[in-house]
Amino acid sequence: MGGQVGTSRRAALDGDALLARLYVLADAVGARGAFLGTLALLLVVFYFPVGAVLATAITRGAGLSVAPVWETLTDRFYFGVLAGVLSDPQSAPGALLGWASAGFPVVSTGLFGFTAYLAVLGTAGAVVVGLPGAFVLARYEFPGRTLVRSLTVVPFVLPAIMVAVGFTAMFGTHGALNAVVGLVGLHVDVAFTVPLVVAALTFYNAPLVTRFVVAAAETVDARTVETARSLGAPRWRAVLDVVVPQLVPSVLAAVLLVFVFDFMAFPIVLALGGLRLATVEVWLYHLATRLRLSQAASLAVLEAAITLGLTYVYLRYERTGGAGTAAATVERVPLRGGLTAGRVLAVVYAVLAVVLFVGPLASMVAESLTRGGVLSGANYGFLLAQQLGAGGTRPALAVRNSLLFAVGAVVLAVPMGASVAAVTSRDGRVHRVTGALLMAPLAVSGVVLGIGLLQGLVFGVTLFGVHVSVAGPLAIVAAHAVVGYPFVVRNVAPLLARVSDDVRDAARTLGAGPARAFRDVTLPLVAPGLVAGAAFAFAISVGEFNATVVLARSPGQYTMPVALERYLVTPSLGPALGPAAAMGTVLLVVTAASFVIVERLGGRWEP
Amino acid sequence: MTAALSLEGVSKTYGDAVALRDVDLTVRDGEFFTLVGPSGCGKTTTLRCIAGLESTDAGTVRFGGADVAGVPPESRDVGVVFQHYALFPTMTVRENVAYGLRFDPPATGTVEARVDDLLERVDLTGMGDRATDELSGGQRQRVALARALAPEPSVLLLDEPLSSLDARLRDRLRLELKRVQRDLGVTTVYVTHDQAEALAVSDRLAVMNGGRVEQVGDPERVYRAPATRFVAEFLGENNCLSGTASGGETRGSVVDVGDATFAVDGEYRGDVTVCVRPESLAVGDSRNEFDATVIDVEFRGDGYRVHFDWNGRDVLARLDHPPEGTVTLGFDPEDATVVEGE
Repeated sequence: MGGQVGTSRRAALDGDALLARLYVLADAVGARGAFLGTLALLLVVFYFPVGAVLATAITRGAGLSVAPVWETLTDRFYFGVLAGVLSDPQSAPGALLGWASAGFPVVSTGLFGFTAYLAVLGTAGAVVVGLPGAFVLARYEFPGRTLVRSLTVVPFVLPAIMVAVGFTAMFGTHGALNAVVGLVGLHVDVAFTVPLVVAALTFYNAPLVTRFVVAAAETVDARTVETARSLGAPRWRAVLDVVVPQLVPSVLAAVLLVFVFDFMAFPIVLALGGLRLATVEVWLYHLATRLRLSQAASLAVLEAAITLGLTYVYLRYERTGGAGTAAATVERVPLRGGLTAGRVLAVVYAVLAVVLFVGPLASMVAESLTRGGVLSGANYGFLLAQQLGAGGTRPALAVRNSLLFAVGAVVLAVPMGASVAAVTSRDGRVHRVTGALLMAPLAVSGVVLGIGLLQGLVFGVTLFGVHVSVAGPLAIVAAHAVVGYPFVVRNVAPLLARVSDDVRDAARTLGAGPARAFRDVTLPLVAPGLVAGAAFAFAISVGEFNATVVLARSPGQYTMPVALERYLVTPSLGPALGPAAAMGTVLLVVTAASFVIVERLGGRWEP
Repeated sequence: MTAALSLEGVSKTYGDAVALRDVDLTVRDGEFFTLVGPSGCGKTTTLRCIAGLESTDAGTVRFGGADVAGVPPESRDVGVVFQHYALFPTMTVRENVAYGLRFDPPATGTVEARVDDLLERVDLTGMGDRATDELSGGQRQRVALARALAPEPSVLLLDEPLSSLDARLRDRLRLELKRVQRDLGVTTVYVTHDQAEALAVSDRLAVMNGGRVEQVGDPERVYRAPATRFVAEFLGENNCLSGTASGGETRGSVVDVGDATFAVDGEYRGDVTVCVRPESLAVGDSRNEFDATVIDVEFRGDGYRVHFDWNGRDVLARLDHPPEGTVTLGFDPEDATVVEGE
């Protein structure tokens, strides 16, 4: 007995000694070291590849040149009449007169014009659908309100390609909508049309508008309204004069962000519009798949200029928006009660919202569970079978890849995000700079990141005479980590900010080294943020499409969203949407699980 | 008595802002030593330099004669009680108190016994399993004290430990703190901005201002014989008048403060400041007198606190009876303190 105890104690001591050595190591590295490591990694897997892509756009031969960008700018295909004006400014006044005398006919605005047009429609849709939602959530109290409010986080975890499947299942030629209107002998064909794409963009971004505005409305101090009313303003007037001005910054911030997202929207446009409704992003992808990388690069530079510029404006709005919490928030009224115009509108809105938001997802799930109009598990059987699907895709392999890549992305993104949060939560100046750097992955298109990683890491670079290249799957994991880590930062930083320096210092003076103090005091306090951040990173990785579709060079590297897109656009599958719907449902379950984790842990989602 | 702790020429700057200038301090073994001064005077920075939570730019910090430069806080053998308690929110009261014992187990007896003993000392017996957010402010402060004392530190550092409590509780905890400190005989450095508290608790105190130590001594001596005008005005209330001193008629000196000349004890020449405590002023004839007009009378229970105007100067007096209109105020030469310089 005694010997046994002795051995186990020695084993414990060895374990302690190992742990102690680990703490010494961690103390030596420190948060700053981890932060520098993160920056180095970002440099390799984000700034260098993206920078290299952008650099090819401003070089020709050996020297710097604006020629590639200029050629794109003056190409009528990209910029329509603006290209003509730029290439021949002297002709502009005459052309303007001719246009006026012809009675202002519709002019060609090129690819960028069309992309902006689509983004404006998408943004308008998001505002039109999102604002009433914000009104309902801010004004009325009803069972499930908190849940609905939390559900507005969904656009950040729901894979866009899955939304596209849902919309096809609902509005497609053989979709649920036609099944319903077919009963009265009607047929609606919206496949590959602008309204369908705009509806999908609205589905995706309206919750974001709602979320921004509700959050702002909840910080409006009820006493300001009471003061206005005590000064003689009727309720509607008090709301107009006091509340609305406080909401305007958040509405504008949301509009900017939604416009940027819509401008760069890729999977939805690709899957629902195809090349017929090609936007800049889709064309970028088209060029990349044909390896016309330099032309893609100049396109990417112009796109990045637009989106980064708008993101910068967004950040300024975000900063001016009220961040304070109200001492007393404006009280909500129960939705049940006497019939008022507001209540009727709220209920009508709710019905429409259910059709728009639940309809596509429900149609997709229903589609996945049926084959030939009868309940069937065949679509799921297809997922498990190791057979080749469209484009040589093995569905089971795609599921496995998605999960593996997601685990890898989480393993990378969590320490990256945590170290960045740890450093930025301390120093004000560093915080502002890195705040902007953090936003970069959100404002740079995933396709550009994919192209950069492809030509920079996968095709490899020659450093000091040695050819260095990275395997495709590794590049995919890196891309996913880069896209996901800002969410870890956003979830951890606020919790970290609440850990007072004194508490850490107290642990230090009681005998704990820096790493040990972090482990004993800080970590338990930020753990919920870490888990929520990890869930975000997981969901984002599972749903990531833009970079993956560029990087996945062979069907063996396909993930669920990529496989999904193949099923969706391969005509040979045609009406048999089932397999795509089944895979979409799997994606839905995975992302819904992540959402539940995020929600339970009070995760923060603002980009 | 030996020096438990000493600072020699310690300086510290944050960017352009000088936090500490050439601070010299010696804290004796087992002493209750207070750093007192207005906010921003450098007292907390001094404490943090002692704890190793801040590095010094120049100078030496010694614990029992040994230079502790570069020694991290976890190896300095200090216990710190922070202003806002800084309890570990994810741990119970017992776990908080026992935390330091993870790194420095008690030489005799169990961790359990040591924690129980400390909880008893701070009057928290039976509260060990509470979560920290179930405690009142005063209880939290006691947990913080017990936690800091648990590993038997050679120096106990208290950073404004009572300032976030209400006045009554502060009084009671101050007594308790003093009792525990005396029982254990632990060398203590106490930081406060409250001069009355500093006078009440300290064996010795150091008055700090603008990153410098203005004066060190036992409370009574520093109160009665301030070395600078700052100390004279900061500790308690005081009426300070700038003037020029010259030789007196028999002994002492005469100070011309502009509207009057006052006789004071001691030999002074040139620019000086005459300080007279409000309680040293009285209505009626005395050797140094002047006519002042009542501005406001505050009833203070044990007497009256009266604001006077004397030719544009504010003068404060503590009187037993409320005066009216213009009265003659006076003080005795031995009650005035003279500080060299303006």
